[in-house]
Amino acid sequence: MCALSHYIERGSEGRVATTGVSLIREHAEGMAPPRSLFVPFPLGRPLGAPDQPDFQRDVLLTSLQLLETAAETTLTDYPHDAPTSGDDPWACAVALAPPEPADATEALRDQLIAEIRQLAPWHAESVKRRGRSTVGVSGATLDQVEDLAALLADFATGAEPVDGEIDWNHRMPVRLKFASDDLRAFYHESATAQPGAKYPTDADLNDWLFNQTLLGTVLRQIVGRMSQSDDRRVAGLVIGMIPAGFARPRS
Amino acid sequence: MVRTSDMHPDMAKNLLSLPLPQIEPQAWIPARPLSEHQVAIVTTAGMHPSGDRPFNPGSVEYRLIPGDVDFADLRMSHLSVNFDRSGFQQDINTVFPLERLRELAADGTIAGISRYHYSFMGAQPDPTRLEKTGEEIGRLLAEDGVTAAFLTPV
Repeated sequence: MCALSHYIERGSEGRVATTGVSLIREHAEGMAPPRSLFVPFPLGRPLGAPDQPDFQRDVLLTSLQLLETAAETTLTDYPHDAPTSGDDPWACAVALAPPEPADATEALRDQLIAEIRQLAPWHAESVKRRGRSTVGVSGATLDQVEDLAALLADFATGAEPVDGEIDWNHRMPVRLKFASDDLRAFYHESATAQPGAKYPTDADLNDWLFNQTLLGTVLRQIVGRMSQSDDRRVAGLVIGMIPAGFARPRS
Repeated sequence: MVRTSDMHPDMAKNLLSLPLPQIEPQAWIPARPLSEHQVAIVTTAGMHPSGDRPFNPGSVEYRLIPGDVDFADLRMSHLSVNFDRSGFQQDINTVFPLERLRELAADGTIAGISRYHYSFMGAQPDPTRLEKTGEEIGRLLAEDGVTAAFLTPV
């Protein structure tokens, strides 16, 4: 990001000034982009928080204002933390009761699909309210999420994954990563379908998914299997599957 | 408050071990009023319209995001698990604040918005590999009459 600022200004021959936000202050200090606003927000949320337009606009404007005030390389700090809905813990409105994962492939497939069907009405509500879904980076369409679950159940139980009907964007094993991302998107969008006074932080959603859903348990099983693989491509995917801090279930 | 000191130690160690190459700064572009600026967004979130080829890890390519893009058509194919995607999933402005930029254009805070925005893949192992494509979009933005780029990471 910081490097791009330099390259864009150079390529424009001084016609395009850059400003921006930085989520890692040490990177901005080290690479010194011309104008940058450090924001103390979680990685992945450079504008602070979803569905907080006033806050987002203030972050954007504070960064843009450097274009009319900075007279030399400038790194400044945004003075506010990302908004939250208070100290009381967020609780997902969808009460899942995840079973112990089955050992057999077909049974695990059925369990995951049953969980997805519990979430499906909430996901439909999400699509209705937001007018979109971010599911699809694997190549799956929204009506193919159960096929994504089948792929993950197959791998988790050591079965040979079946290609199915999905027009995959990636080959195996990278396909597993994007199938997992799409399913996590489906779960997150379902869990946040209804606007409310309490809204989850990124940590709340990770805690819910990795400690209160069958998908979270299955993703850990997959990572366990990947880490034992002799195939370096498979083992190399381990670091891209589960966020730091959620590799083990909460005790 | 989220700083590297607040992060999971593994993630902080990884982020702080990344190379930070020194890039010779260009001549300073003088300040001018915000109300005169045509603004584009440049993101390293690995976003792209759904019909575009997904990014590969470490790719130095870019994708074009039209100014009138339908948010329903945007996807994110960034591979890293070290950042939150749920903000983007709930509200794309959390990462790509195009609707906020439109509001600033509508009330005259900025002069206007670029016809095109640009997206790169983040988590670059060597940021200097972005030199060629970075300079290319600098040239393209300038030729499009853009005077300022808002760069946003993920």
